[in-house]
Amino acid sequence: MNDYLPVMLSVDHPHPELEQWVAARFETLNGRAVTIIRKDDLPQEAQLCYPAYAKAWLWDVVPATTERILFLDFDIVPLRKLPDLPAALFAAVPDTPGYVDQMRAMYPHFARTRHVFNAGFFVAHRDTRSCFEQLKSFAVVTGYNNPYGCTYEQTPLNHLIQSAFSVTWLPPEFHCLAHTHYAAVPNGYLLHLTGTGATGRWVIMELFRSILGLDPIKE
Amino acid sequence: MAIDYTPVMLALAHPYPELEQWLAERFEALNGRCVRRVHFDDLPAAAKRVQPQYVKAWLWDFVPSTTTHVLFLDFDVLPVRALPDLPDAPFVAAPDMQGFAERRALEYPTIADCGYFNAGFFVARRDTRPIFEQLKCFAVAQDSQDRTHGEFEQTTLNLLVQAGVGVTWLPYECNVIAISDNSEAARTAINMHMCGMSSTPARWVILNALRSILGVRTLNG
Repeated sequence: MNDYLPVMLSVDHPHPELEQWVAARFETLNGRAVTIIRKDDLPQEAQLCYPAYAKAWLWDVVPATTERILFLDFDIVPLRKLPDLPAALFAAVPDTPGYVDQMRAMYPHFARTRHVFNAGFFVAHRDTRSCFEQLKSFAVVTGYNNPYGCTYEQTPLNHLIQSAFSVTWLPPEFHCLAHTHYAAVPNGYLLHLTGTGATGRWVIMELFRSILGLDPIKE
Repeated sequence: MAIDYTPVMLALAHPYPELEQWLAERFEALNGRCVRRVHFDDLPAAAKRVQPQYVKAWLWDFVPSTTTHVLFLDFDVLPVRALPDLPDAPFVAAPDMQGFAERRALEYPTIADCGYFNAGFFVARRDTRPIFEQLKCFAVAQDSQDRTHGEFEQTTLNLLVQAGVGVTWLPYECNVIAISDNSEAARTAINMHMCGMSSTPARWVILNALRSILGVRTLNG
């Protein structure tokens, strides 16, 4: 399965040149133009929510014909061409085990789940839209005074998706988390600059931009 | 005039020896000098008991007596491009990142007047050895949890150097701090210092990604 629309949520990106580079590099590697969603593209109620929750409105801002969305956080570096994606309703990569343990300790629901996904990258079929509608309600009602600790929308999205669907778990190479995936990253497709700090991620992304440009990595 | 120097990396307990080796090989490929890597077993007994950041006080004990200049590299400094010719001065370093240096300047008038370097990369000439001997005294006297001068050895070394020989400044690009808000400097970085990240493992994952991309090849521009 390789039919998807790549979407990057880029609310108030402090470095527009990096946003453009990520989109251009993804397109060069994967042959698909990235739809960049900025604040002005979002409905009013989404603009009032904490930015991380804006992904709840993803299905409102893509064409009605879109069957699958590949979601990318704006601090993800496309390293290599993605392989074919599985024909799944929802596919993602497990977050760091420590985080999963924390969620299991906090929420009985997660005691039964193998993993909790990191919401910086996922592939969602249109059939999952109901979960995003519920996330919208949650975002509007609770806003950013979220009861889910430090994870903003990630935990409620996990709750909603895992309650309704079986997640197809992808190997870490699909979404290497900078705070976790040491062994996977030499063959990684996407590198998410987690754990590098609010400003540090842009310094590191600029370094990657100066090294990689748009060229594929020479293996 | 190009000086003759010995690069030294303190890698006391590097969690990823393959990265330590790659960083040393990359430095050598770019700058034509083999890096001397110092491990915990190489340390004299006194140095084994101090806070690891203070071990650089023994720097002159790790090099031959004929060495005139030592270039010090933290084990998380990525050589991106070749260094420019280094000046023949007692102590050469690059300024620490904006904001951080200014906070130190509020505490210490000397730093406000003379500047503040990041101690992850510097070049010291042999006539600075008395300064490092003084730093040894601080290192031995400090309790392992004592951060009297804020940032372990860094502020102490700044104060000792500024009081003794002064600093000859290199451009910030020689030691770009990865957690700064100066992303422009990353474009022309000579060395990128992966310090201070909110998640310590992140620096190793990022370096491992860059190892797979860069190897030891030089960059254009």
